[in-house]
Amino acid sequence: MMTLLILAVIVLGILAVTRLSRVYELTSALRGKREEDITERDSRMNARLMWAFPFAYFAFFLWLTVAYADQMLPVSASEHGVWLDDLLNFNWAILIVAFFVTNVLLFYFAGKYYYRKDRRAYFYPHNSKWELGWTIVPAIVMIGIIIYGLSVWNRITSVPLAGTPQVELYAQQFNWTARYPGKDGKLGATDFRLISGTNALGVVTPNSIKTRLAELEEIVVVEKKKLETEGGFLPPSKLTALEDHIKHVERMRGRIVNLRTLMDQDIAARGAESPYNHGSDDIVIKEFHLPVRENVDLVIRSQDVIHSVFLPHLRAQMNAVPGMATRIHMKPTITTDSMRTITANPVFDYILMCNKICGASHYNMQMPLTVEPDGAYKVWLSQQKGFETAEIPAAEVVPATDTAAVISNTTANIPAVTNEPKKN
Amino acid sequence: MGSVAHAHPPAHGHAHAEHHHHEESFVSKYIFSQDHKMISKQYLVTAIIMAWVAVVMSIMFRLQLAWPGEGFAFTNFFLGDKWAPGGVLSPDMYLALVTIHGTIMVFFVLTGGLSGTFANLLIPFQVWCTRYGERFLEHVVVLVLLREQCAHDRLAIC
Amino acid sequence: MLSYWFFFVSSVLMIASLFVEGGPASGGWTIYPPLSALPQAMPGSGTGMTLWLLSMAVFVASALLGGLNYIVTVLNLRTLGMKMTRLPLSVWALFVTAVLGVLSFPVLLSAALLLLMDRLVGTSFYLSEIHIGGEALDNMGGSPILFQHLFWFLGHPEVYIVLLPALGITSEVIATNARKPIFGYRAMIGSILAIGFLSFIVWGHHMFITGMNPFLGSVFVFTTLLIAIPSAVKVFNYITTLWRGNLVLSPAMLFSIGLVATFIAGGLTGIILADSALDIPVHDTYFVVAHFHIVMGMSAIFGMFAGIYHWFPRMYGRMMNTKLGYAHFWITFICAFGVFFPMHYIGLAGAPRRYYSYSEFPMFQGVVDLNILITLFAIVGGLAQIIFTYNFFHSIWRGQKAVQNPWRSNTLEWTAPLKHMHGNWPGAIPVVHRWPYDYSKPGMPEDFVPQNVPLAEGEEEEHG
Repeated sequence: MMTLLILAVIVLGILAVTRLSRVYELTSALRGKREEDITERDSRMNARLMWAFPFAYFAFFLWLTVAYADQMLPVSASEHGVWLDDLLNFNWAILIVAFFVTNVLLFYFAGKYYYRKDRRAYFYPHNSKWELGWTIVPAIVMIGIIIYGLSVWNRITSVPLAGTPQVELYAQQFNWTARYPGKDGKLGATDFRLISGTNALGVVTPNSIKTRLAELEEIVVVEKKKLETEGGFLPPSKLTALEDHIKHVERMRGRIVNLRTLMDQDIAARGAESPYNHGSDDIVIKEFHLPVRENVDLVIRSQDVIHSVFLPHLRAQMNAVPGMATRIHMKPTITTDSMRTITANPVFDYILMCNKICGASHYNMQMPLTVEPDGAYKVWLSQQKGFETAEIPAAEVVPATDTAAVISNTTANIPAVTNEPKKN
Repeated sequence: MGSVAHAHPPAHGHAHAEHHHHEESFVSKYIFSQDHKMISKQYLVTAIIMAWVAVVMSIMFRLQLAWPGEGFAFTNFFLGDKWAPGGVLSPDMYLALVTIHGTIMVFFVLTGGLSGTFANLLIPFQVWCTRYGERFLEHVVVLVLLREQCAHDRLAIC
Repeated sequence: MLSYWFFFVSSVLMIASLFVEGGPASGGWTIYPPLSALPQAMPGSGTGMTLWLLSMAVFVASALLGGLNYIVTVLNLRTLGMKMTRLPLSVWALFVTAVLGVLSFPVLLSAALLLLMDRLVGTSFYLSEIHIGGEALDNMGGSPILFQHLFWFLGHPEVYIVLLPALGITSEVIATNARKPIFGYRAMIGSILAIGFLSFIVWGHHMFITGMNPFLGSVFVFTTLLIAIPSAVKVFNYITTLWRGNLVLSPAMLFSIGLVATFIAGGLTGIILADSALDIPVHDTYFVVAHFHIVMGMSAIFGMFAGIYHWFPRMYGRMMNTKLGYAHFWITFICAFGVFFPMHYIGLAGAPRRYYSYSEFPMFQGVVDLNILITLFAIVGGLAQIIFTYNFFHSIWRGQKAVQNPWRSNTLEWTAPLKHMHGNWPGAIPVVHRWPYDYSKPGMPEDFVPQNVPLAEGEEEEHG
């Protein structure tokens, strides 16, 4: 219906425009008016519109600012966010002044000096003093903005204090996983080759290497058997694919064996300090909790493509890049409960969302964050099971809130569920 | 060598003027034209067509953003049932549309279309003021032989 | 000619990519790998992506051929008397644009070729430690961030490749229609050069949150914010050019004034985004979308429209319809702000870009009704372009015949006969005696003096 209406409007519009312009052409030909003669009347009409426009423009600006003020992000829930909000307000104060001054001048002049036959423009090619003035004034303002901006930036990106607890956020198409250090307070080493249904993050421990090697061994055995029994019947392309896959898995197995050697040497050299010894008690979970008023160092990694950790209420953002770990540290200052009071919204939740295009379900790659008092946080953490003591595989833990639609397991990354457009 | 070498020096302008007035075939005038004005028009018309493609794309994803999950015959008309079943844009196609909209606008309309049209139109007109072909060899020739060339043509400071 | 035909082939490839199985490239126009490198990651990273990359490679060839030609012409083939300080600003802008293009497009080509190799040959320039589709990939040692450096090394100059010609066209149109010399001609040239130079050392501001070293980020903040200075000079010079002018408000002039307005609105929000600290909460949100559509999209489009309305008689020997031009301008101008201004607010509410729908997030329910407003403006604005297209094509064949110099302009193109001919001038090519902005010069009978008119007895040459 809507479309029909639009189509009708388009067709009628085109017809009207062509007819009107034809009439206009005929009448102006009769009057001997030429297109390049911009008459005083035309100029005056446009000049009046030039004067009217800024009123509409500024009114629109004010209306948006006032009407949507309560829809903007609420007060910052992190320590550095407050610095950012102050910096932002400082910038806005300068920019809004510049915005009004330049626009008023522009539209005022555009409307005032429209063409009249008896006037002659003022020949004024340059004035070095003025030009120097509007080079130096913006330069000084910019220096102020740069100094203030960089001082905040340096504070935010400073090296975290020694002993700041680490929490890992792990991104994959199209969900998030968190990893908390266990009782030893340290995150264990990881390797992407160990990722499997039972080890969603590829945590490296002697045990997980053993399990993964066995799994790969089994795959090779099964596929070799398939090659023997069905090899003759497969079309050439599938045959090559199967052979390539077997080679690929064997290559992986070889590399994991190398990794095991490396691990054994490291454990022998460093004993309990070795990162390979920290993994088994790590908590791998699809829930995200942080303690309030405590510094936390987020370690951010990705399994497949670039994602981005975006916590708008905490004014925090950092890309998750496969092949490297990025880090941000911060201090949440308002608990989820307090924020529910502040926003007068009893179901308010902090949201972690993905902010770097990552595929079809990018728009729904989210995980709620609970900020809670330190005591409650510790209790929650103590109830979670360690990675190698968990009874159910971490990848299948269903989070408490209803984000089940985004959960896809690691071996089937194409989410059949979310490909269906949501009907509202 | 092409047009640069044959560009008439101002002093001999009239002697050569006749030479340029021969009738051109359709192909050499409109398709493989060496004339900067025609090249500029070619750029402009191509850019307008590309811009329409990008505008139609933007309307399709704007419809989805304004009324998510609703079907539009407009969308279905352009994308068919594969990408817009029932006129509802699929998430994959949504991303494809924003991608191609951006690419076309940035590169094909505002780089190729804008620079291509006006550099071809204005630079020869406002600067060189003579015939301006564009052949690959010509670039090389101009770069290598520019001093002699300019002395020959008595063009300004080289 | 070769440049155009490469451009044409590249356009055809891009359009062809729309029809392949799996759809066209869908990783965003910045095509960051690994998303764009791995066909397993999304359907658009299949054949569509390969065609996209090929199309870009051909496009780069076209841009380089064209760019070399423009540079050589401007540097070496100026007519007698056409000193660099007598060049119209349009030519200055197009010249610097060509230099930027020649220096930066090859980097895009190499980025695209490396990505093509990652896709087709199995190299690991951009890929490392990836587990996708249930398999760990063999690729080790590459960096997805490398692609971003290469891409934005082109990508940021590209912004000015888009913007500078529009600013150049505007300078020319504003001076002609204000019947007044452009204010601060040399300062304008200086700003173009400064913007051109700075545009090469700011690319990192697209990557503040990629985990880049914070100190490197600070350097990019500094260089980026410096660009605000030449930009401010340009804006104030435009405004002063309007001051006490005699403004012929032709459609071209209206679009030029519109460009200054969008350049202001978009430029100011750029100051927020350039500040690395403030970039953290607004990076990749609708705030960015609003910013670059206004400052780059709208400004450049308005510059292009100004150029088309202004030089249409020069191109086709006919005039475009002025009344339709007015309708086109006012609808487009209002819709431009109607579409992109509210996007700032959606962005400040935290809404990310490239989201298919916001219905999964309760926190955006309050601002998504702005999306309806935006779409309505977009539809009206899109329809307004029908007016333009009709006007354009109708005028090519049926427009009123143009006179020699309809806008009473000083530049040389209006001294050439309108008749289509090779060589442009039937006789000797014109010799230049003055700068192009002698409008309303005191003591002159007319309010314009074309560049090929010799200085009168006792007349001082103006240098701007």
